[in-house]
Amino acid sequence: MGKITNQFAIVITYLVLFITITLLALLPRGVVFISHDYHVERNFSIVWSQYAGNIKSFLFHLFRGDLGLNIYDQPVMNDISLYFLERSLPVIIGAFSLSLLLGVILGTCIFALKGKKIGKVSSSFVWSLQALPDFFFYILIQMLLFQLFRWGFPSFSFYGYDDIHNYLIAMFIVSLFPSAFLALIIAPLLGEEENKRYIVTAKSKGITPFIVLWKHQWMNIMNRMVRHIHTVMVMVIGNLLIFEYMFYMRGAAMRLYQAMGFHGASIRGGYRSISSDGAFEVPVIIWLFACFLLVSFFAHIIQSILSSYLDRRLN
Amino acid sequence: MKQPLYLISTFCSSLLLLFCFLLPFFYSNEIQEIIFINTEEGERLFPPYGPSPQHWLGTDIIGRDLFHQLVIYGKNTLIVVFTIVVLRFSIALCIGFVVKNKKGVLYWLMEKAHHYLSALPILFLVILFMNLAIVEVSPWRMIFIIAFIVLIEVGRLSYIFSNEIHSYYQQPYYEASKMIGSTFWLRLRKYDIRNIGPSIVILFMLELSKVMLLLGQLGFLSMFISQEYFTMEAGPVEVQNRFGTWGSMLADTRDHIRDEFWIPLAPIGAITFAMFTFQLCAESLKKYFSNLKS
Repeated sequence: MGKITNQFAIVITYLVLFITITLLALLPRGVVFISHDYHVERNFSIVWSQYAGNIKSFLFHLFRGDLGLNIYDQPVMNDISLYFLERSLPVIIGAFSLSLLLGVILGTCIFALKGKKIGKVSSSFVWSLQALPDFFFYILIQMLLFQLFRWGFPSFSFYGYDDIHNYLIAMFIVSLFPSAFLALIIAPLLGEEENKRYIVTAKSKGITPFIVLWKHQWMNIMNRMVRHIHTVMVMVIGNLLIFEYMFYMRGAAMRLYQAMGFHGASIRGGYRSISSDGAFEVPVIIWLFACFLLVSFFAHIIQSILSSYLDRRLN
Repeated sequence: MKQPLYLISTFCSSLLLLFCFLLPFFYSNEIQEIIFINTEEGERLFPPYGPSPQHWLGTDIIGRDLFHQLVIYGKNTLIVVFTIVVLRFSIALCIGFVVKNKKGVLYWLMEKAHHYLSALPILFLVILFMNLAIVEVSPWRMIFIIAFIVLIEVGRLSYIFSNEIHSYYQQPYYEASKMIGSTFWLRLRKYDIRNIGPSIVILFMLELSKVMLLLGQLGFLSMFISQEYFTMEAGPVEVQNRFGTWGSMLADTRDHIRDEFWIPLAPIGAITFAMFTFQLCAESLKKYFSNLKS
């Protein structure tokens, strides 16, 4: 019964967040600017009847199965299928899986190599990956590639979602930060487990270190590791926006950013003008947020299923 | 102080503080714009200029020296980051103490608020909030935004604090102290600070680094904490940043990565150095407190 209540609470939490985002996005806009010589006077007051009208019209369209139109009078569904389903979702799934895989490998390597020089170097590298800002690495990667191209390295396009290699690069780069985060959680957990008596007994019986690590240490820390799956997913989504912005990828996160008043901002990062008021695309914001929320929700569900299964197995 | 980690952390944090709080006294608050320079061959050179002995880190697109900007804006950046973290910790600690028994409606609410706000990246929610019409044009925009950034993570921190406080409140030595009638202040000094003090200090440093990252990301996406509107000769109304931080220096610099890489690299370097310092301090403190225990 407790588990069902728990699952229900998760669903309600996500639903409440979705409703909050919807209500915020539907808030009336329409700032009035009166420009003087160099000074601009601005007036804004919320008209509650307009707000109620916005909510009514949103619900009316929703119940008719209509998600609304974007700034180009095209159905929002087109934006979702192109930017989210075709471009960003494969990257999110790929980066998430790669983060788990890389995190596990890096965490195990840091643990297995501790005390050795190479272990110290790799743990410092992984530590700096999660300690330093993501955009620092993104700009370093770009500068490095530009320099390589200048030196005559065979050039390829790494901007945009045009080829399969762009997706692979995106998955790898977006997964760097979350995998370092996971590795730094796994390594101390394995270390904690190492000092327990059953490990000492297993080793004294002559079982190879690999079997001890895999069958005993790993199996016993798995339940604590899976509790971070959702955080990894949130990190992947968060990094995706900065990645798409810096690598000129027209994906769902970038589209959502543009919909939030940055439509004037070109893909090249031009200056934003205040005409953003008319470019605030409410339906795009609501439904792209919903897509990201769904992804986060699935990660949460996977985490709770895996965690309860592993807890049951261990107990 | 033989440990290299302690030495490096002290050096980096002193350097950061000197750079942000002492160096501005030697620089003017007005940053000069260079429209063009004449070369010896009689050519006119327009900005941006690359790193040179005159401009150590180069200049931006309108000819403002980047090093000068870093010096002037460093103080603002650190003050904003510290204000957000101090406010966040004060509120989270109070809530953590109130719900330390992990029971009741308040604890339930706090736990749900934590789950509710950690469902999506904070960056997304902050961008949505900053672009609401009411926040966009409000004279209190800066206060609204800082309050939002503070509150959005209070649930997570108070959840951590309540768990920490709860775990040592169950210890026999704490219960014994209460039974023999010790005062609240004595318990606060002898047990509370000693038990959760180290985690608070370490978390504080990590939180500084997180907020610095958020400010950098917001800056990259041209989101200003405080902005003003202006128009030139009845042209379109434009938005301009009013509160210079290292983050705001990154606004609209994406296009320069290829040819004028120093423009984004200077503020990114400063932000990275600050985050590195905070993380190093957290690591040093972790090491120091674990040495104390053993």
